[in-house]
Amino acid sequence: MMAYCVHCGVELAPSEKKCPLCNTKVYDPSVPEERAAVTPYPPYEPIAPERISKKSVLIVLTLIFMLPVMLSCICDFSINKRIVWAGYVAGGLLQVYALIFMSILLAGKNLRCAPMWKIGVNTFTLLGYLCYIVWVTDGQWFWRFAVPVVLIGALFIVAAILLRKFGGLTRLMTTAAVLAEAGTYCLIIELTINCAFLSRGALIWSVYPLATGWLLAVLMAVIDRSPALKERLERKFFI
Amino acid sequence: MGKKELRWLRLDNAAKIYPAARRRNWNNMFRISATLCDPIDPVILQQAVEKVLPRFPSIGVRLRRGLFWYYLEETEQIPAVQQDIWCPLSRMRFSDIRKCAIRVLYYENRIAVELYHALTDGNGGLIFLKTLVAEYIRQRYGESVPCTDGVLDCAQHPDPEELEDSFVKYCGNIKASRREPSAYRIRGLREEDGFLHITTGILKADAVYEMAHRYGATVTEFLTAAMIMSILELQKKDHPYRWNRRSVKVLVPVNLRRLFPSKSLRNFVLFYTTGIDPALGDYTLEEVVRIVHHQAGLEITPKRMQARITTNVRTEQIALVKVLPLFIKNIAMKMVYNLVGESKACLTISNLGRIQLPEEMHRYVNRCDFVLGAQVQQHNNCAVLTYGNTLYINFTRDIKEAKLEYMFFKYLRKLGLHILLESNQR
Repeated sequence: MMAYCVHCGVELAPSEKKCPLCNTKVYDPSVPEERAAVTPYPPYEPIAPERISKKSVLIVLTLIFMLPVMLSCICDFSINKRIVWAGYVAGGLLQVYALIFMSILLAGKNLRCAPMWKIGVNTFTLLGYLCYIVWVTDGQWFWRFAVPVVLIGALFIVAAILLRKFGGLTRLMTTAAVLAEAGTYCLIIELTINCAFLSRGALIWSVYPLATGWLLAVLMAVIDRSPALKERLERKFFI
Repeated sequence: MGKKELRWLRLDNAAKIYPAARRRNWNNMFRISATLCDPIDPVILQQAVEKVLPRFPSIGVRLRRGLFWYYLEETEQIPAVQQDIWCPLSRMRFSDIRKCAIRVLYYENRIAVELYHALTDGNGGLIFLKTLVAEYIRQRYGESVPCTDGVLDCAQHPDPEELEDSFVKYCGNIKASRREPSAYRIRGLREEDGFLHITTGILKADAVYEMAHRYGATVTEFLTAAMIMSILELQKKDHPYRWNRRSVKVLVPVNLRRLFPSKSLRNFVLFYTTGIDPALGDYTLEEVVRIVHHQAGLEITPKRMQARITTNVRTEQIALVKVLPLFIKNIAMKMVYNLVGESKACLTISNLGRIQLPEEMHRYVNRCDFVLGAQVQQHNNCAVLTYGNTLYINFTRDIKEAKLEYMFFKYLRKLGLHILLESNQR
């Protein structure tokens, strides 16, 4: 006796407990449920997916990054008899290394605060790198310029992530918030430059990104509030 | 005593892309099986494999890496037959292929062979399976099976023509353009553990043949048209606006042995795409069948196929391509494959046709099946064959959603065809 799927109308082999097309459970009153039919393939046995240990990936990553750092240090030292430019190379590579390292370390951990950890570590390494540059160049701008700009930048990124994750905003509104933040950040950078290096109050360039960012943000907020307009624009400008 | 010199073969023209296009958990494989009337005896099956495999020097091989190209090398050891697994075709890794590129499996009454596509095509695989099953029947039941209908004589030496790269042999002077617009892509949620869903639709062959002839088409054309109609329905749901819809096209392999007098047991197929542009309007099945039929008529001619063979062979024969080291070729071929390899069609429908066996084997063989693996970007594939009065349509998919199978079988049901389904669902 064969059963039929009540939904699709196809006949099902005795081995089928549910319809393979629509997942409707097969119920045939004339066939006892416990009767086991021969399945066309051996029964399913889950296989644990192969996992590459994070430790070994991190070791490989570290070695890959160490190679250019070592080579540039050796090269710099053999030419100049001291470290001149290799420090910049190493510092720049360290930024990339920290970014990838944290991503691998936190991957698959399902931590809600994972992005904060990434931003925290990268802010710290970036400040370290800038501190090194200030020290090498004998500059006086670390506390007056580098620290406020980097910390405020990190705060803006954290704010954008929090808005996206917990603010319940749509993608369009999140983009609007990011644009407004970016415009404001440009303003803060210019103000910090003025305070740290120029001792003047006039704003020259930051008003342009500030105005553009905020105008676009307001435009997106307006579009987001009107579903009909949003749908019309999506239809016209989809990529 | 000196060590035996192992036979080696260059990859044929069609096979060259497969090793380059591989992924960590994906290789282009297919499977052909025969279901007998009794449970399979693995000891006898192993003996049959040991007798049959030396007759097929292009199949009992492993893939090896040269400086400029991959090549096939005869395996020193005959592969051991294995118990079939719940998820066919999905767990043959590249490292396995480099040891032996063929697997012989058994489960209950079924003997299955899984072959790496770089070795042979469906036709070559079918001849291998027929010869293996014939040998198994001889040993198990003492039946005298003649070497006809695609069963080869294991006592004979392989004919050099069976090992030739027929693409090179039948290459001409005129090239054909490969340019084609991209097709709609069926998307879905990929199975994380690589599970390959197989759904088999079993139909009465005479009913399908009769319906196909009523529409003035062959079975492959009719099934292709039904598939196009099902994909159209699917796309309608995804893209309600017609101008937003992409071409619906199906890749159909053509057995070139029917056009050229080749005896090769290696790859000798070319694909052509057939389909419609949904942006132009709504289509009826009659229209689609007519389009598919005429497109097939235009494509499947010796001259057209020869021009396409020439394009492929000439590319391989460019001096610069030849001298590039293999790892550079791999990168380039993988890039080309990723960009255009699977984007020209929604899926493949491969029809092996009606399986002919010697009369003495019919008593023991109840069923035959042909299964294609899923591609990297094409999540669905479809393989068809007819044995006796039964037509088997094997759908494979590596995504969770069975939407295409649902649409397709529902469509055939609406046309009045009776369908029996079975699957490997978990």
